[in-house]
Amino acid sequence: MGNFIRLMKYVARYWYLFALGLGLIVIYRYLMVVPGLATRRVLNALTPPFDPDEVFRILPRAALTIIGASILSSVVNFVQMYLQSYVSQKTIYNLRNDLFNALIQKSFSFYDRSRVGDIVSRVTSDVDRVRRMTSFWINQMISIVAGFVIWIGVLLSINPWMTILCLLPAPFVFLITNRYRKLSRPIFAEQRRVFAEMNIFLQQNIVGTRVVRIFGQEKREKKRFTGINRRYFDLQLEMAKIRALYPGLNTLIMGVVTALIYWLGGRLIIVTHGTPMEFKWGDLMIFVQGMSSLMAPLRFLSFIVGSYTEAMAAAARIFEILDTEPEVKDKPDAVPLPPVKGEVVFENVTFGYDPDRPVLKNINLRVRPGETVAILGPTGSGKSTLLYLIPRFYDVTSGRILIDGYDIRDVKLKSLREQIGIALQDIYIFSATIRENIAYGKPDATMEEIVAAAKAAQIHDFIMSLPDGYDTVVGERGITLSGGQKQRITIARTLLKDPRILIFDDTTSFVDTETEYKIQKALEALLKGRTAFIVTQRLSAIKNADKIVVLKDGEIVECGTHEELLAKDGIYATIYRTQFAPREEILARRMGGGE
Amino acid sequence: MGWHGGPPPGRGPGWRHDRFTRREEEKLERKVSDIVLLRRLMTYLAPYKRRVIALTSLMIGAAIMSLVTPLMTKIVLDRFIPAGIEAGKTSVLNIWLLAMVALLLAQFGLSYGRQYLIAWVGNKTIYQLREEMVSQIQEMSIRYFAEGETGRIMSRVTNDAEQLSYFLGSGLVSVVSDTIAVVGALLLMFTLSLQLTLLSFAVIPVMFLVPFFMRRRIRKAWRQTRVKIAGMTSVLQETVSGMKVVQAFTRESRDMETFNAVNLETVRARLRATLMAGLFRIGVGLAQVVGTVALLWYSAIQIVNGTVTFGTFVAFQTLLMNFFRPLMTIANFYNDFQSAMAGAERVFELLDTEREVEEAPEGELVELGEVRGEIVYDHVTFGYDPRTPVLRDINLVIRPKEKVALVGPTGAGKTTMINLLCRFYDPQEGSITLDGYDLRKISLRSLRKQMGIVLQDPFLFQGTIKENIKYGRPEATDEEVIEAAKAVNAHEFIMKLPQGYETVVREGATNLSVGQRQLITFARALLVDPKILILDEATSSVDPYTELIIQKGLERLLKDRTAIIIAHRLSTVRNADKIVVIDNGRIVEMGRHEELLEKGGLYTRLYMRQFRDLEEPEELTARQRGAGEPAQRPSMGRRPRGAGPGALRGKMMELRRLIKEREAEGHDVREFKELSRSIFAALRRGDVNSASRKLDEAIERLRNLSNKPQT
Ligand SMILES: Nc1ncnc2c1ncn2[C@@H]1O[C@H](COP(=O)(O)OP(=O)(O)OP(=O)(O)O)[C@@H](O)[C@H]1O
Ligand SMILES: Nc1ncnc2c1ncn2[C@@H]1O[C@H](COP(=O)(O)OP(=O)(O)OP(=O)(O)O)[C@@H](O)[C@H]1O
Ligand SMILES: [Mg+2]
Ligand SMILES: [Mg+2]
Repeated sequence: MGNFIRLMKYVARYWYLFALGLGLIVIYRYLMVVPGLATRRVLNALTPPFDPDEVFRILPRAALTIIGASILSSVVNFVQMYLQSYVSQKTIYNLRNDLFNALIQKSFSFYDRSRVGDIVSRVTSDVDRVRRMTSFWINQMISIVAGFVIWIGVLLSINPWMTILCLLPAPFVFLITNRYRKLSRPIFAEQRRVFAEMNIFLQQNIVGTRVVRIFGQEKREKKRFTGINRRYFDLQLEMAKIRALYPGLNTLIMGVVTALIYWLGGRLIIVTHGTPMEFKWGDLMIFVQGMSSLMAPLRFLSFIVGSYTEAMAAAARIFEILDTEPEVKDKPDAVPLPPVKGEVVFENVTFGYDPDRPVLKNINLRVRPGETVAILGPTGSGKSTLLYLIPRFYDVTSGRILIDGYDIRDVKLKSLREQIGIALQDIYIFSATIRENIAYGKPDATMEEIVAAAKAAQIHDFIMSLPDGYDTVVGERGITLSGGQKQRITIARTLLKDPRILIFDDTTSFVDTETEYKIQKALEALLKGRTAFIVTQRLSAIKNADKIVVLKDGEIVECGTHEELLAKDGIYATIYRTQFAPREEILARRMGGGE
Repeated sequence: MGWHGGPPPGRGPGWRHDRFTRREEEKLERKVSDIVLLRRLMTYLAPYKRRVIALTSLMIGAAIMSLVTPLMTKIVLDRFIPAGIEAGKTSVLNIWLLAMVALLLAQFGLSYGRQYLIAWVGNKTIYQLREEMVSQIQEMSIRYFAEGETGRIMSRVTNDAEQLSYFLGSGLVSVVSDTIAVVGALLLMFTLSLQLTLLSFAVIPVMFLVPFFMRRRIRKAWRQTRVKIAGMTSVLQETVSGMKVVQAFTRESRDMETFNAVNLETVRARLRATLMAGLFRIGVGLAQVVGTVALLWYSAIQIVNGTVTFGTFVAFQTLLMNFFRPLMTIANFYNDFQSAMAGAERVFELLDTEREVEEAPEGELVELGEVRGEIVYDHVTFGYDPRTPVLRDINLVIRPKEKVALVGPTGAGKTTMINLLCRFYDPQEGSITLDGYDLRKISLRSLRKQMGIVLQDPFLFQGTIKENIKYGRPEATDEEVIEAAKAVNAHEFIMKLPQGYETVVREGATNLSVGQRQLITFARALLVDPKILILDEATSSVDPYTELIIQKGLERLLKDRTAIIIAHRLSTVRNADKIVVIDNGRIVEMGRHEELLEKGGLYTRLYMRQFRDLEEPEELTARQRGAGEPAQRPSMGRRPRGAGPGALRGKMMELRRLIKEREAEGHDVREFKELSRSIFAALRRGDVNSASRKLDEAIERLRNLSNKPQT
């Protein structure tokens, strides 16, 4: 109920239109009955033995009434439908915007937990379910009740016994429809589930097709698909059986009752023939019409009830998104972070994706403005995690991070992130042109700026070699690019943003040493005066860093300049020696051959 | 493909969406003729001939039945009731009631059978189509995945197929029964009353044509709505998938704008469609009311004249409905047919996409057993787009059990070499052989069974870590899985995860670090125990230390295998039996590590780059050797020789020592560090004089610094 009220609050913004629509429904319902009544008059007049004069007296008036009422009712109906649609569209427009707005503020942890498909379906299908309810549910209810009252009034005034006969199928129709809904609902749900499974299967097998093929698992995957496909087929058939049976039963019952109306009406005509209380032909026909008008909405009723439960479930899923507070968000008294010099300080920082399992433990690190910090460490030691904390993608579990003395939790997120450029390790390329991808963080960048960034990232020449240059559309997730090309595009994207603090998370792992060297040279100039964090697995790239931080199991085990760490003869020195062992050999060779 | 000159970035929200809409509209263009498509579709119905015939006869039965009901109404009104009035008794009606109920029961049975068969036939064909489409997805050219987007391929299998099933199940068959219903109703109307029939025809144009023409515009409006909704979904999908990038680049407000715009567009399109539909309904309503009133009026006159009976009038109203409803369906059939054909075209397009790599014909097909693992690239030329070759005239012999490394600048074509070897593509010129068999002759299955491959892009399936490692060999035991994980040094971290090997890998593997993903794909490749192991940047994100451990283990693991290793970190590849250097699609150098270093070509350059310091003064090396005095300075062609290196080196040492000393004393020495770096740079440029001058200056200032009182 809480969800219902909350939904209605969205509708309430347009309450006057909504109320107007409801009023129009009642009028429409009434107007719908009028032509039937007029026809009845004509038909009654035609009941043998008829009086031609009376027929011709009634006919023009009846014709005018029918035409007038029909025109009026279709106009009323039109206005009402449009209002209803307008209100529901506006409602879901607002709802979708709210949802998107909530989504865009959700922290990384939310996206770690959620599946893309699930989120998308909440914004599309679930919102649509809610729309159906806000537009139909209340309207239909009013419409059904109004229709019932009006019709029963009309019919009762003609003949109570016949009216009872008309209402006779009501409980059956309702029960059958209800049973139909109850039986079909789990099948529907199962169908949806299997369909979703089919989608996941397809998505995985399309994105991962190379892996499937390489490991020769086509048969197994195919078998899995056949299972899903078969299940879907079975469900469809099961559904078809129910669908053919129950609505068919309703039609049957209504047909039988119609026959009964003719039968009873016929008897009445015969019995009352010639009496003053004569039951006429027009009366008979209006009961035929009245019965179907009464029963038709009943066939919906159960589904309307059903759509309510469905819509409420959908609303719950929607509100779940709206209600889960982003874990990372602005404090109420957050101030904008003024343009920074770039001092970054970690103070006793501990963090875990799951607070019980810390990934980073008691990190202390002071980075002075303009310094370049290199971060090294084994796979899974928490390097990326450490970097994620700086733009506040996650909040620390304990301790704090200061930028220019500001605790990053005290400043506005936007102002913080605008001053930080981060190239993520997980490359994401939008399916757009290369230019759009590079200019992603600064859509109003000029072409010169874009080219400059691309040049610094050593990707310009490659782009120019493409037939469409910067306007080349890259495939989904950049599939037509080589690994190194993708990485260099993300580097260019980050550079173009031109922030005070730069973060590169292993973005040259697929780039050859020569190109990397060039990138480094270009960066050297660009990084002047900027604070930079660089994660890399290649020591050559970081020797000149002002500070080298070695992480292991989430702890800083070594920190210092290259020379200091070598002197210390710890992990860094070991790694250094393993990677640089061949160096000795080169030197030896040179000495032997060169001079 | 390719949308030239797209709008400049930032021209406002919705650029991605515009492109989407354009593509969506392109989709509506038709290329193949209906007859061809239809004939092909019919082949899918052929296996169920009996059911289709049964369905058709049921539908015809139902069409005829629908004529009987109005007749029965006419009879009761015209015969039974007047007869009852005449006889003064009501019992005559009972017979009619019985007959009517029997008729209704028969109708119920017919309709049940018909609906069931419709569902059966339609869904069976869709089932079949889906099976074929998935087989196709598994075998069609990899190229297709680069162009088509995942969503689009998916929607062919789901939505388009669904639409077709409806058309095949009911659309096609109902044309027959609808025609019968229309003709039957018409005949019956004529026999009942010529005048009324003629009158009806006078109003047909109004009742029929108006809606017919309006409906087309409505259809268009609804289609627009669907396109807009699909567009909104695609914006949503992409934003949500790339949300981390969105937030990293603080694009929130801009993307909100984009979404807001597409959202508004869908609402507008929808309201427009509603408006059209509403107007349509008014049009239909008015046309109908004119028809009904005319019929009522005219019938009343005829009844008064005695030319038409009351029963005929009532029956006529039902008959008119029975006439129009199927007529509308037939009229709309063309539209339904068109959209079904569009769906069919997309489905068949998928089914017909080139497989590009086709299996050889039965007679020539080779099933490989145990291979030796000899691979030969013979004058191979290949381009993803044949006009722009990515690999040119590649000649390479890899002997059994040889370890070959492919190195070269990014984008040189290394991954492409592998793509060809796995036969994701076939070369345009030349050939590749395995154990002397042309790859094109070998059955794909037996070819790939020989290989274990770690792709550059570490893709993991949704499922547990164990399932992922076992992917290539589902029957592997837990011990084997653990062994493979241990071999790549992944066991340790897996055990640290909350559920160990049963930890579920999330969508996009976000709960694993990138290096961890690589290690798991590595274990997955090892577990299949392949004759040929291919590692494309398998350890690029793995730290050197872990890598070293893996390498030690690998030596044993690789002993009996042919291996192809791609790596940029050259320490990874220096032990290879053969190093192949690729640049710009050509093999430029080949040989053992030492040989290549002798040559001093591209490899040497790439190799040297990792030890950047080699181009800087060598005090470091000296320290490593534990030697007190400067080491002999190696010569590099680019460096000026004999420019008093000894003296400079000594000064450099002095500078560094002083910097350290002053730093320890608490002075701010950042400036000097900067300076020493720029001196290195000058040295590298060969600018010895200025370097020497700067050195003297710096040393002087540092010495003085110590005498000043500290701050
Ligand atoms: N599917 C594709 N369609 C079109 N062009 C492609 C496709 N895949 C790669 N290319 C292009 O082919 C060239 C060679 O790419 P390849 O992936 O073989 O490079 P690579 O040597 O593996 O580079 P890296 O070291 O960066 O991974 C690149 O210029 C790339 O843009
Ligand atoms: N979103 C997440 N949810 C849960 N656990 C995570 C998540 N991201 C990373 N982890 C875990 O946290 C640990 C540290 O991961 P992180 O990505 O920081 O490592 P890394 O040092 O960057 O490694 P690599 O060198 O492989 O990139 C890993 O054990 C990983 O499994
Ligand atoms: Mg990482
Ligand atoms: Mg590659």
